[in-house]
Amino acid sequence: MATAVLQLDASDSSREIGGLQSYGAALILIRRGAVPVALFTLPVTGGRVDGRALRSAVAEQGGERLVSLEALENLGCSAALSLEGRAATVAVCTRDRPEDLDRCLTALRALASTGQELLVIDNASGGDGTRLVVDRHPGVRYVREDRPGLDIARNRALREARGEIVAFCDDDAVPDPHWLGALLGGFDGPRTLCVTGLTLPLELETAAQECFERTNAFSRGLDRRRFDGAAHDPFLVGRIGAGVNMALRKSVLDLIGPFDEALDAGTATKSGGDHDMFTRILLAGYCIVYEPGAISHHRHRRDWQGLRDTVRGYGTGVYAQLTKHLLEGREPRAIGIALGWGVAQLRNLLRSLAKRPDAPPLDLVLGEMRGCLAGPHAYRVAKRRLRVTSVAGTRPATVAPGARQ
Amino acid sequence: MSTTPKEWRGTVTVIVPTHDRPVSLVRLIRVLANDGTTPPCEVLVVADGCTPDTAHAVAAERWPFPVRVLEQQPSRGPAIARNLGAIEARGDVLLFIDDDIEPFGDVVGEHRRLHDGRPLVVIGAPRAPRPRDAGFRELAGWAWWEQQFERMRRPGHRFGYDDVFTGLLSVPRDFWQLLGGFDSSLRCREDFELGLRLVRRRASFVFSEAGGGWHHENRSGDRLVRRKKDEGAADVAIARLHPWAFRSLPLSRGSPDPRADFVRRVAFDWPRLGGFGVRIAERLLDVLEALRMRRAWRRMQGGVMYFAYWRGAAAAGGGWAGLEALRVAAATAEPPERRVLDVDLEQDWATLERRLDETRPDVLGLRIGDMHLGHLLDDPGREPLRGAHLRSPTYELVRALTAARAIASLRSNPMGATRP
Repeated sequence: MATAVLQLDASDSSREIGGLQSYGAALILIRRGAVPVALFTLPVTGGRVDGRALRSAVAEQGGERLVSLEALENLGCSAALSLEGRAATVAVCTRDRPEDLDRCLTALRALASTGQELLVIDNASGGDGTRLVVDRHPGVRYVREDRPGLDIARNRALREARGEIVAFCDDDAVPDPHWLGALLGGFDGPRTLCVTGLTLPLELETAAQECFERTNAFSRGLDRRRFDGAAHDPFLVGRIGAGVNMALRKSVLDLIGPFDEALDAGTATKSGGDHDMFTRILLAGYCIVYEPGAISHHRHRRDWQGLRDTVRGYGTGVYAQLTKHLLEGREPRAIGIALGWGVAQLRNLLRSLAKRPDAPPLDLVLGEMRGCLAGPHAYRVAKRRLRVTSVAGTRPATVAPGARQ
Repeated sequence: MSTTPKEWRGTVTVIVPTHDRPVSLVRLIRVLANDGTTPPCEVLVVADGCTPDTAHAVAAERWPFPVRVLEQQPSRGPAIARNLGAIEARGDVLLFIDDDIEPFGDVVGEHRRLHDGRPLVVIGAPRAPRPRDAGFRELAGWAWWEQQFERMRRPGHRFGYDDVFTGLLSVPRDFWQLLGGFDSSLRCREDFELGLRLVRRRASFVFSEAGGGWHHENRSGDRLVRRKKDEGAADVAIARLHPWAFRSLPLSRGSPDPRADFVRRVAFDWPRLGGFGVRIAERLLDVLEALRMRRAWRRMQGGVMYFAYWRGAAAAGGGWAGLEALRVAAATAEPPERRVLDVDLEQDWATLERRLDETRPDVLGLRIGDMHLGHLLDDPGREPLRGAHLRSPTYELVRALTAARAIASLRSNPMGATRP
């Protein structure tokens, strides 16, 4: 049975929840105002979530945060942030997903206003669908980028943006009204070049979506964390977050360089552009903040084949990115990370073969392993294609790790 | 105490101690000249054991304000050079700038505006430019400075003696005279020693980003180890000068990490073996960097620095017995006057905030009703508390008080925890 995705205010979390007849469980986010305080899954019995179980889960997981928040509110230090003077651009990179884009733009137009610019980068879409959707949303700027590739589109967004900070939102995501404010508030100093947020599922209606949430969830917890390049391993970036919900200073172009256009969706490497950027930021000694108040909801792939492709793409992207850092950045640490991933894959494979109850499905594990094996070659292919594009007259952005433009 | 001549009231004297760095010295004065700094501001260069090149370089250009070069021969260190400059200064505000700093635009104007008749200590940020193609050591040094400023620029930061960097520091001249200037017996950490006296005199601190500059510092590995040893020795000297501050110094603390504790023991008990280990470690650091093994590099570098600090302290203090003597002296020293604010944990936050601003206590005495629970934030090396400290973004004080309230409420009502 499907899992309901719910949000409750902490003041409203002591009652029983009903009307969930078609669900077997509920993933519940408890918030106090804009701040998330607890996230848990409870069983749904007879269409209801038991009120006592709910109270107990809130107290156990969110009690401490609630007490602290209450004290701060009494002091007048609410979590509401002053965003004056922070010029921001929200960029959506999209390709042939007009329905998703429409939902995303509707959510973006409902954001608390900080005078932000809304920018859609149409990344080589096939028809007019994307432009027509944008036309239905006044105040949204449309930019066409003919070269396919998510990182190409991201770089275009960084160059086009008028704001000092560029918040990226995937077209299949629906950000919360406080999303942008929380992301901007995460930039706590000049050394913080990137802020990521909490990404939750938009829906868990199919087996594929539930499986994705169980094995590859985007959520990185409810505690704000700061990853300092001076102390944090620059290759352990999985726990930082993902490109689906991140904001970068525009100055990242000068300080770190553009996204590597040989990585991520639309290329042979399938993914890895966001994590490559995180790694390069940390390698250069800058910081990334994970701000759980920046909540966005992602629509996971509904069908199993889509899930399989996604997971395989993750494997390809990770190993492509590690190949790049090993060969171009001369970073032996990439070997250690690759081996670590390999061991984890083997462990998953054994658990799947032994049919352990919490093991990921065998076809996903095999798909991810195949993706990992294809990663190094995929990076070479992607780079070769970029060079061809370059000869054809456009300038690609492949950046050696740690190098600046 | 000398008085300021009428025409020099509300003005700034920039004091630059220098030691054979004519190029960066002239760069500094040029920045001041190009940013509209005009008379009656003056610049005093204190040439500390310099060759004549320094005076020639300054005299070779025309400046829009008076620039005087005071010779100090032979070299007696930057602390005495700064004191000499302060004696000769005519301005109301003394702005000390190190000769390897390239100030941001209008640094004099910024410091002058911040003082504006208020008795403040303004600390400008001597920011290190991020080195291009940096090695691990340069990157770590840059990040260390940035971390300090990240801490200090937070609203509600409680300043301490170790936030006083003399690279870019301004103090009202009359307050400076009251303090008696830098302690001339110290060749290192003289800024922290000054910081302790400022804290003890209940000075107000301001951190200024715009009143800072780029710090072009030399960071070779040898220099860092030597510097760390000097810091350990300087802390011993400071503890002797101010026994009341001993427990605020790193000297008073070991490390809970058994490996760090071992390094400290080596520094005290087997210094020659430790010195040999440091020489090997310095070579290994290069190997680790070549292999891009950051974590191992950081650990080893941390170990080398930790050893160097404690070696310096052990040599200056006379080993374990010397350290113990400092501890005993600190325990028996007459404590400085400390204001204690009694906080009833049942009072509301707004009242507490107001009372903090009114009384500027050094310590919070916690009680609930008539029951005394203990003290909070008793650190003689930190400035007195202000209401703004409650609103620090890390909310350490609020969290500590919230925890104390919770504990107090449990003690007064143990059944409360299980009440439905």
